[in-house]
Amino acid sequence: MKHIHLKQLVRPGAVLFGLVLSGCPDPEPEPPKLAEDIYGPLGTILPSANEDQRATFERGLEVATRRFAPDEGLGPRANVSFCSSCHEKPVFGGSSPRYRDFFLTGTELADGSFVPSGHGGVVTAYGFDPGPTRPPLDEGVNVIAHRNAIPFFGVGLIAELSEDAILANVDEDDADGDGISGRPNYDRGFVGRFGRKSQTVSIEGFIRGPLNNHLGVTSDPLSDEDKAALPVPSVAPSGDQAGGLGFRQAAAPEEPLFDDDDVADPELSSDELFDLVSFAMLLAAPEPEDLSDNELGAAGRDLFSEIGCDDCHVATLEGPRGLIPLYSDLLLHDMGEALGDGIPQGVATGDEFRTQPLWGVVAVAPYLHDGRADTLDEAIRWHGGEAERARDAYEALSDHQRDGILEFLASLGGREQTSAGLLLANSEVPSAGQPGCPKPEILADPAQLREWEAGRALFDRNIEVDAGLGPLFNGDGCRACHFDPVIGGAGPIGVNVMRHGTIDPMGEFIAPSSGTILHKLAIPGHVRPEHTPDQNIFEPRQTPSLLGLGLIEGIAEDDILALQDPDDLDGDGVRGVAHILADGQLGRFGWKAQVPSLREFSRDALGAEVGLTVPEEPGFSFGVLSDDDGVADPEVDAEFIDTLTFFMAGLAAPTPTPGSDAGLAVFEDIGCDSCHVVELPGASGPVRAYSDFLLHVVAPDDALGIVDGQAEQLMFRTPPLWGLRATAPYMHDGSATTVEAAILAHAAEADAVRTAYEGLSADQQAALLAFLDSL
Amino acid sequence: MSARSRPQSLACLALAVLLGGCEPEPAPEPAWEIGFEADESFGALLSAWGPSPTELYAVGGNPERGAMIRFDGDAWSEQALPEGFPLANWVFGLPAEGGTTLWVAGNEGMAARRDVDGSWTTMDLGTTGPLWGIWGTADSNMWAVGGSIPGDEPILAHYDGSAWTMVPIPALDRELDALFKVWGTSSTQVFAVGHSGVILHYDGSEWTQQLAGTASDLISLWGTGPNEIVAVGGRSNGVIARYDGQAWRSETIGMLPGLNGVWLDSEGTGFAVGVEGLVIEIPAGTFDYEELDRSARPDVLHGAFGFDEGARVGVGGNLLFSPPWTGVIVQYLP
Repeated sequence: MKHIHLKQLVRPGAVLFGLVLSGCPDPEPEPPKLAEDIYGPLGTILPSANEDQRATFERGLEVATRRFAPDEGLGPRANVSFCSSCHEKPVFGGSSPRYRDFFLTGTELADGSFVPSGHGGVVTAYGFDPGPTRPPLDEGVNVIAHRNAIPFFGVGLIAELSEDAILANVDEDDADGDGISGRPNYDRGFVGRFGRKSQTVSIEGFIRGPLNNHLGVTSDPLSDEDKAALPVPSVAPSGDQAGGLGFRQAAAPEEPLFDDDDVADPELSSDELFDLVSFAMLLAAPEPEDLSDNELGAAGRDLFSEIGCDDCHVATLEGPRGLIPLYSDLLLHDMGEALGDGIPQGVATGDEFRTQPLWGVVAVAPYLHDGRADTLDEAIRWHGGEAERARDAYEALSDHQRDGILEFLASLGGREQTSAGLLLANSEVPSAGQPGCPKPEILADPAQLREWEAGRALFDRNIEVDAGLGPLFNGDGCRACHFDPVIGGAGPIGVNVMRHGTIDPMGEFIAPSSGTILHKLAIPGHVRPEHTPDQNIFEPRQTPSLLGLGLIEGIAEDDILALQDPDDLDGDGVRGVAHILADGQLGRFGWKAQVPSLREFSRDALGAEVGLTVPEEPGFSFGVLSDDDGVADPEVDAEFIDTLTFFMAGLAAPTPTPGSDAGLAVFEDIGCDSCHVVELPGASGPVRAYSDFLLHVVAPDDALGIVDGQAEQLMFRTPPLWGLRATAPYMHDGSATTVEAAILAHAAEADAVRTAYEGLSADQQAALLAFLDSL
Repeated sequence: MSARSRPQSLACLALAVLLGGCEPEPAPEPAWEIGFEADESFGALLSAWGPSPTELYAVGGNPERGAMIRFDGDAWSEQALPEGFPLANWVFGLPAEGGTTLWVAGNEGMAARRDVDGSWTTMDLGTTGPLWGIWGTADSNMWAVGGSIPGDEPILAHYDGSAWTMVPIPALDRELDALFKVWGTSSTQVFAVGHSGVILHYDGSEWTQQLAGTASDLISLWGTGPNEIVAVGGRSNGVIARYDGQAWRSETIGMLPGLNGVWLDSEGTGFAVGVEGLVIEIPAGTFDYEELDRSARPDVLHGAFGFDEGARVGVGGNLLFSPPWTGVIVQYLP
């Protein structure tokens, strides 16, 4: 195929003109040097940024971490509720652990063409309109591809690269016979550079698309004025201006985006989009280490080149600031069938992928487009297709030589920020009174504190596939759901667990044979389960905070049982049902009070949410004992569970701020404390959790729900209110964005209390809300 | 001459003075130029058609109000559309005694016919969806296509001279939201193209799907006859599809942005326009292209039309932004 570009036609003339004018050859130009002032710790701003850009960067980070609610534009279909959900490892702007993996989907037709489906080609986990649901796969879908999010570090520098800098490495027909035939992808006619298949040319496009596909948040394109003010020049040239063909940050998707929820479009303001795009453009490049004193790494660097890794992972591309050491040619390469995902994008086929930049790579596991590789070694061994020769050469190296290459890769920036989870090395323990701090007695005892910190590290750790993650899972660790506002806290909408089942014509709930949890994810190579057409009830469960649970465990059963009134004998309309489990224990944890103890809670969550199998232990009945992920069962031992449980039990209760007595008086006057019992005696003193830990019906009569043991469809445990201000959204399904919305959502047993609230004066309501905010 | 082309001429003049001294200035080579620009009160332009280079029409507007202009060989001037006619998406004409009958397809399921005497007849097809294309062999045999994206139903409608009838979409191998254009060579050789690479063929009795190996949106089509038809489309990447009388083939041309409009001369040489002011020539029988112009960038060109004598026009505007739009016409007038 012959393509003629104006640019190509112009060049020879330009050269001739230069010769005619100058007469004698110019001296050899100096070779380009590595760019300076581009490096910083992961997640920090480019050192060259000016004051205005620094302010924009901070605002952009706020946008990246802003939690969207359905009434603010989230949905109607979504996977996550904020941008940095998928870009948080090891810091905001990075990549993502596996719990943020997602799926692309579509249908390959008989004529070989591919029709993307889902939400902009993305499978979504949550639907909000009209009610909560798991959006089903489209009919006829026959391709589902797994994706792990990619980091944004240094993307502004990639955006600055000229097309020529990328095209210089093109060898589409493998003219040099090295088996490597990189070719560019294109977006709107311009050389693509972002995305697993280089399918996107502009950062604005790379943000607006996922914002819509994963959050359901619509946006308008940036105006030319805004584009002109971005940190990377992004003004669309007019007409045939010289140089206009080469620079394409302006080629973002220009279409305004719309959706059919009740929130007016665009749901993200232009100012917010500007700040967000600027934030991404300003992220510093990971700084490679000096290898002069690192013999192993230096040898690895040489081997990296010798065995041909740098045929695709070229060390630098030349940008306007100098050489940019991203270790990628940004071109497409055929990676072989084993890695192929069946998703064509632009001109990329299902087996082609962009060479992933390697700067900062050590800090952004897992690896490869679907996150199938826990380690860099594993990722290299998965390389196929054009990379087969380099992979074979790697495998033929000695262990020491391979260690050298891995050491070299680890030297490409970010090593000090590498974490097994999101806790960075030497993360401090929150001091007394701070959210997420340990109980005072733990803080005071170094031995206990060490054990608690070990538990925190386990809690934070992202569980690898090789360690037993999955095959089905919702989170790849405990912190995956409990991180708001601190490790051990609550979780935003995007980590809600979806329960489901069937309500038959008689209104009876029928649980699926596989259990009521509808898992969100599966490890690569396994298929996420989808619900069947007869399953018609979906109930998201908001992640409750774990702070103070150890104190709750210390409340005597009798003190809770004393509060129950299942037949409403006192006639106050409030019943209170104790959830007595099959083995006679009192349930007190979970939205249905379905778990009796923290250790059982650990066992249960490890199996149900993470896919980790646990050992049989006398006296414990929760947990999954075996699965089929290929990892020997049990995947964790009793000590693992003990350590984890110790951490959770040791989390101090949220510290109240100075509250208002008036608010507490209103709380009690209108009867909130009928269920939200202010205080119960605990093992080491009063527990002021604002809960009776009993089941109540507070949903409207016509609502439907999931049955769990003795907890009927609409029965939910009274949630503790301590720490309320930091655990939005509220209610079991996270449907209330604010505390007041949660109060107003109360019905049935809480009808009278809600009515009383509605009848309060504005001052009284304010006093109550201030009180609740102080807990 | 447009304001945009003047600096170029001045530069040429300066160069001629430097190089040639007293040589007389040669006649300027024909060149692509901005022939018309419209502000938001007028809107964008979406389609062009005409029987001759001195009678050329372009239609468009804004969603709430359609607009039409005519080129008389020298200048563009505004023409009337029926009162209240919404955005006009496509124009096509048929020879008639004493002149030309114009057919216009618009938003809100509206079509209109302008007879030789200049009188308009407005037709409501009974659908709220936009009509994107209209074509026919006679005033009593017209086809219109349309539909919203995302939308409820694609629109395929036929006019028999007295009434429009909605025609069922045949069984398809993919979901279809909208058909974008319809074109043919006779009443028994009609093609419609649309969303997700759908191509429909009508043989005089029924519509059937034809496959081209693409699922990219196909926006427009034209041909020289039943054995040479070219469709273009794509959104992020340009797509060219060809029909040789037997089968369709398609190629995604990465270096091209999405293509919107295409026209073929009688030799089969294609002229296509697209995103970012792109104007290309497609050599006959090939999937190759040569870029001819970008002077409308960053506007989008949506419609292409030309004449064997060499005249070409591409029409468009800032269509990728929310309305109200501005409009632009690039033209090459040898």
